[in-house]
Amino acid sequence: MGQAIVVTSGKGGVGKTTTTANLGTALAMAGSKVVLMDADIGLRNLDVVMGLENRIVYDLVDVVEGYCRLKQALIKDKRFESLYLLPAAQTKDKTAVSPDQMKALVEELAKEFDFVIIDSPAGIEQGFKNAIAGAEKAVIVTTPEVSAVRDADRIIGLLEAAQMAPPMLIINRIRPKMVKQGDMMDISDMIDILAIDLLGVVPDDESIVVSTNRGEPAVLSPSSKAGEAYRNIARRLQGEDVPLMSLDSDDGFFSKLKRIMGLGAK
Amino acid sequence: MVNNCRIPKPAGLLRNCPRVRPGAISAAKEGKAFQLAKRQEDVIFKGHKNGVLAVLNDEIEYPSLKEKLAAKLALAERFFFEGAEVTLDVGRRMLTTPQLVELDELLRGRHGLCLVDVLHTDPSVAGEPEEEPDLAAREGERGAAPQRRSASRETDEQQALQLDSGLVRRTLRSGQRVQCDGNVVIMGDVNPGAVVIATGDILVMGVLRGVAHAGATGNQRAVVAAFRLEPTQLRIANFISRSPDETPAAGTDQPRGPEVASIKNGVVVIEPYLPHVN
Repeated sequence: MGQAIVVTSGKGGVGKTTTTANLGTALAMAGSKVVLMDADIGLRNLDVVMGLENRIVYDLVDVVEGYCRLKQALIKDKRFESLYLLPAAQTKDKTAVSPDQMKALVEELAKEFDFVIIDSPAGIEQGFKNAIAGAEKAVIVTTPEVSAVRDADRIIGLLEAAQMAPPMLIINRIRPKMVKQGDMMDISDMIDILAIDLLGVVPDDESIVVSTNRGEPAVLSPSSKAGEAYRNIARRLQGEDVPLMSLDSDDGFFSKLKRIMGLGAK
Repeated sequence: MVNNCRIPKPAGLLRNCPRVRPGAISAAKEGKAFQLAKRQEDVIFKGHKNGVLAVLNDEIEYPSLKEKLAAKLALAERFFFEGAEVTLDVGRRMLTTPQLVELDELLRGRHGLCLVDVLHTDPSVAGEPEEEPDLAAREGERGAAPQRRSASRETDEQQALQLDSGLVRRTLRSGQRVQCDGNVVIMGDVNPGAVVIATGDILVMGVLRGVAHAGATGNQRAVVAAFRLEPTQLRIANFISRSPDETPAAGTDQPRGPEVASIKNGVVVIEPYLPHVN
């Protein structure tokens, strides 16, 4: 049985889809069998970010409604043999699927794959409930903004209420320079508020914009800082102990990060 | 014809599509179903101006024929569209009413196909008065069924239009879907994420960037035409082709004029629109 991990955030635009695409690709690069599931019915994006939009014939809703078999809807990635995408429907909305149906679908996928990574829509309504229904673990993505952290906190509360294991945190789009100048929330500030384990920190990186538009996840580019951070996160998900990468040459900042990681690993 | 039948998603997957030059479109053929139709067998499915024509051998016994039809339907599962209209050609065979009811149920049960007519291609047999009242009686029932199906699959946001050959005077945006029993003309663009499905031809008076499916109930002679043809995916009958993965660099031979996509020799071919040729 593989792990089913939902990537969620509450707030929109913090990088759920980018995180899903990059983690999935990094896990597949490292040899795992991975399926990415787009739970954002009606506003699908994962297919575009993965560069697989033109291959979609059947989607998740078709599977749930019995119009096709699960295997027919799975799209094989163009780069990795062990990476698949289950696209969302675009011409339907969130009510086309129920949490029970999602749960059954995820269970079915978990039999075949090492990782089922579910890209959740923003919000806390039915789409979110669908996305978390089949997941056993959750990854919360947040950015160093008060509003994003507030929403992340709300989501953590909802996940607790849904009896899920404590989620893991990815802090996205951090700018070390701004943090140092005191213009951006510090990692430790966010950990203090959210009080969950830190899975990784992804620096703000212009290459993400390019890779998203091209449909090539940043982890494929060896020079991308964000790509490196996602590769590290993928290794942590696979059970490796990888230290947080240095975002800055400044020792003070790095040692602070390490202290936090020590905190998170307990 | 009887009513607007719904046209759900087409059959076929497009793994391993051959890659073609930029600007062209690669094609994947759902070959098996077609080859089945070509062999001389007791049950043959053909494309028909209004859906599917099933030609049934009139020389074998009825029970065996029924079995063969059931087997053929099971084989061709993904070939059919729910709600497609089927005409039976039974040749010189005289079907009794119970037999006709049985065949109708067989078609409806497996794929939600609508039996709309029975033909006798052998001219020595004229009309079959016995079955007429039966067909008429079922008309109402059949009319209701596809509508129920479509209601369950539609949501307010879906904006599925159900129209006889129609004109859509707006741009279709992502998530919008137009379905049409007949030909459809879009005065506007079809953006990525939007879907146009028609049982006949599709004409986009604008840029086609989304998905278009012409001849959705199996008409291989259907075409897709657009002022600018840059689709995510093109489907004609049960052929599917997708855009090439590499976007050609600016300035390369990207055609700018109107183009027409059709099926030629088993592949989806895109050609410039030449008014005097088409």
